[in-house]
Amino acid sequence: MSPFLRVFAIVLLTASCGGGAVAADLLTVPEDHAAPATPASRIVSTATVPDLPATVADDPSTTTPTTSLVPWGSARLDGRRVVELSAPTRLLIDRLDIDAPITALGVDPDGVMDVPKNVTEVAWYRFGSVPGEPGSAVLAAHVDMAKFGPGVFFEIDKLVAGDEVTIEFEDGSSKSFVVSESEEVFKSELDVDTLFAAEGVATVRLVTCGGGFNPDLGQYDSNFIVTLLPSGA
Amino acid sequence: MKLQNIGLGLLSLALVVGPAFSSPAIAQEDDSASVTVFHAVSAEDGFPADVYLDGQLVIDGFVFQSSSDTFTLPAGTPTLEIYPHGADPAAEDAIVTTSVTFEAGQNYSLVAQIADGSPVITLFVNDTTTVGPGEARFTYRQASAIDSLSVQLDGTDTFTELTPTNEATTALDAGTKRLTIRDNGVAAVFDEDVEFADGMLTVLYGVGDPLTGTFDVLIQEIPLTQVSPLAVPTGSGGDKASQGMPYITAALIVMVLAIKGGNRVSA
Repeated sequence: MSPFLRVFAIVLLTASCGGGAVAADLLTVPEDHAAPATPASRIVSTATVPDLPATVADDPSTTTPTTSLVPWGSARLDGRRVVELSAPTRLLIDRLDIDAPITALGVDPDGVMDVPKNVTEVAWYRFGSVPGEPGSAVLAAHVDMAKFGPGVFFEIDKLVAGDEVTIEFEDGSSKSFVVSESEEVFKSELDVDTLFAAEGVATVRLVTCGGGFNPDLGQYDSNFIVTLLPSGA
Repeated sequence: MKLQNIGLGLLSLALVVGPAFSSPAIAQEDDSASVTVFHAVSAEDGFPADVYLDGQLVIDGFVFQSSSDTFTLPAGTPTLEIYPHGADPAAEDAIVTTSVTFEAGQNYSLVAQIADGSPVITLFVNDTTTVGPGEARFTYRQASAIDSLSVQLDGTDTFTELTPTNEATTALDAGTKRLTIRDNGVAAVFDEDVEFADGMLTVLYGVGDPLTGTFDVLIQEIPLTQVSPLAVPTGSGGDKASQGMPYITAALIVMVLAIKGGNRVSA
């Protein structure tokens, strides 16, 4: 019998005698891994293939548990658990009498964050973190607009550490946050990769404009950013 | 024991087993590579296999439609061997023996599949480069027994004439799309909604054989770095300005707001 034929004889034989079992004691089985119920068996029967070694179980090189074993599990698309995170829908800050709807927005064609075309709504950066989840979730709103006057975030510079903020979500749930710190940053010095960080500590950042105003450009020279942390964190 | 199993075994004997490598991409600054292994060899019993790297057992009892966790390996060219589950490497021949080159900083997927009737290991490089805001990246890898297939998203041909061990990649707007896979561009062998998340590389592997009812789609998701928005333009009125506006105006605004009732700004 050629070596190749022997290999496939083992495959076929193993298939017929339940050799598909997983050596569960050697594996860290992922949660979604449907572990076979049959206990592991490394013994290849010689009953029908007499020219094979009696067993492989006695070979220490194959039976010694090793820490390098890589866990595995089903990769089926159908079996995937999609974690649907609920989007934030409402921002409540009692101390400033803010009770504003949140709209999920992305970026405009110029690559800057899309913001509401009014002074009453708050924008959530939908390609970033969800409030309460790892990373920096951004909620931005106008401090003011030339057309409409003061906006929903006109007074967020009055927030102090410890002030409470509530965010409501699409699924009806809500989460509490507390103000951690505030800062005014020149727009030219804004670290957008930190502000929009997708990973790291769960923070929420309320962002608006501040600092000096250039009436010719109709722009402020700074952003005012209030950082929130989950209550009890 | 089914005849088709024997057929698979005998067919494999006649052909030399060899690797099918895609070209390596540019290495990044890191001294290790990320590697994920997929089992795409269909068989009624799941074709349980043991995977060895440089003689060390790394995946034990791996079955069809499974993937390993992603593991980190030093850059180099280890020898990869696949044995029937439980076989003794000292005494038996491997089903597949090949050497694979892992470059530092790269993210790889290794797929055990059947191509031209024989088992092969295909090494793919995952494109983990940055994507734009709200953008998704989609890679399809042909690891099934279908000679040639096409992949449609929302009814539009995205990839065509994909043959076994081939892959194709595209950028797309994030969202849920209808994925339709057509055998030789005709019969739909898969037709389901798939979510392509922003900032995510979604790799789909068509595996198995529609003729034996084993065709299925496996998924791998790799988070990517998204380009951050460049700025947050949230003011155009100048009412809050610390300079360029007389304090008297600011005071008036505050007074007006106060008269209107408690500075309440709501929807």
